[in-house]
Amino acid sequence: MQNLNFGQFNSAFSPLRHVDPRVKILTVVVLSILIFQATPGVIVMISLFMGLVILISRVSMQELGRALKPIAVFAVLLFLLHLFFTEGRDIFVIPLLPVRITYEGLENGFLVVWQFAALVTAGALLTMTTPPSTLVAALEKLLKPLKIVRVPTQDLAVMVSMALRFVPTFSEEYNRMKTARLARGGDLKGKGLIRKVKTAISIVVPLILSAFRRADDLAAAMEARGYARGPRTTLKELRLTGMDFAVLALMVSFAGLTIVIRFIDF
Amino acid sequence: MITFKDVTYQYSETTPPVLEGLDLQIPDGQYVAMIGPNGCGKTTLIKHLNALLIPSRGEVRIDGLNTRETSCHRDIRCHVGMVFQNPDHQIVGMSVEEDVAFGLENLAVPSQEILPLVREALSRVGMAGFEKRTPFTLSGGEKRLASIAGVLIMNPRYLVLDEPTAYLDPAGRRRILGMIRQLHREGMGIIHVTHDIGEVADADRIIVMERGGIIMDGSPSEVCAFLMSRDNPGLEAPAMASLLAKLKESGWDLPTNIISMEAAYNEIHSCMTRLAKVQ
Repeated sequence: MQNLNFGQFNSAFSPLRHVDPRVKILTVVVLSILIFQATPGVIVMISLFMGLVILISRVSMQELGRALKPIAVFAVLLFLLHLFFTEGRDIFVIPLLPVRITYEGLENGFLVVWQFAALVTAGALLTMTTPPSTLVAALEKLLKPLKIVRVPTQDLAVMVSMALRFVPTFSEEYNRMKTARLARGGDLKGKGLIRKVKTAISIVVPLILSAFRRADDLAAAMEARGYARGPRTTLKELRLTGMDFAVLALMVSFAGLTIVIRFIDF
Repeated sequence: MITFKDVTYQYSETTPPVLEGLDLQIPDGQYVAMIGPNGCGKTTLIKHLNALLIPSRGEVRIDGLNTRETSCHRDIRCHVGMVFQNPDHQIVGMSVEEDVAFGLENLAVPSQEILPLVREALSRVGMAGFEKRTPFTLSGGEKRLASIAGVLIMNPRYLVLDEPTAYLDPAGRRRILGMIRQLHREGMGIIHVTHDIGEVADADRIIVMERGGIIMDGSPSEVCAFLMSRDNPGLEAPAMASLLAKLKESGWDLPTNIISMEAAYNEIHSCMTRLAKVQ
């Protein structure tokens, strides 16, 4: 819970902050597709590209490391699964166990971990260089076509923004509950799985109940300030600038180049 | 004008009414304080002012608009601004300016017009320069002022405040009360819910509630005399009035329907001057 600042906006001085959030979201989507279709040549290209973006973004490696830390366990797990359970040419066979390490397993393991890390890095760069409110405004604009099929895009955007708004509230509430427990002699670092689960439940249940109460109050406060179905405007209106078109052009060229490289790889 | 006509409200059919047969009129620009013990229906009453609750029986009209008509709700919420007890529970934006702008966004005010109005609302409550700050990092008093700004930006005729000085230190309390008085001087109607009668000594009128009804409605001195005349479980007589009553018991010729410290000081001072002259 203390890592709730995972991927949160904290780069007020990043040049990427001035790029339209819609362009950034589209870039992440395109990058994700490219990452999943990657061949060895493309991997090198995307890695270089992302390294360049990290340099331009001025996001510190320490901050990026903090964003990647929570997924390290999953990445290792994925790597081991591929390493041990992929059929192919043997490198090493573990005696008496139905497990063998193959060249293909090693290759797949590295590929999957790279894909996973690249995706999370792209997502973290997006959230770290975009204030949550503009991210929500961008989502709303990008989802606008869904209005034709009566998807309440405006309400969806407000929902996302409220969910983001609750992050610091939850964090504060969790810390308060933790302190209250410690003040009454509670042990939060109990040993043993059952004890750990019990401790977690004793904090999570009141946390959820308090969240419901707060959600009720917040809904009343929103209604009292005129929130209802109907036309709304936003404080900051998104407008594409020359720089945004330049970034879009760069992205399209990069995507085109990776497609060419992909064919060459084949 | 705000009008309550025979208003009864029940949260569900199986529970007893929280408000029962309530009649009330609040003229434009009046400073009305509302006091009463916990659970007497104060918060339920003020939620009717903003059409957050609709009476189970009877009707509530805000400047002629019936809260029962859904089509009037947006206008009603522009006429009556509501500041809830806990400012943390009403923050909707990730920055102060986003939070203050929320009401105007809901009214579909064009984007380019919002920011100047946000700045104006913030400077009105003495918070110019706080636009980019995260609301969660503000002090209790600043959060409360930011929520008042978020309501003032909608240009309401009446401002409803539910225990606006709760959890505040003396400086924060003074700041908020000063702001309320200032808004009242500017002609805004104020409905101020509180447990501390001492902080509403300069209200035009104080309403005392008990068990879902109004048991007293009068000027601060009338309400003070009423509170001094009976046992009030859940309500405390004003500290100054209690002090004056003790002095009176000791033979001083003093009135006991006084709430503010300044008025109490004046009374004691003139009594001492009289005594000095006699001696």
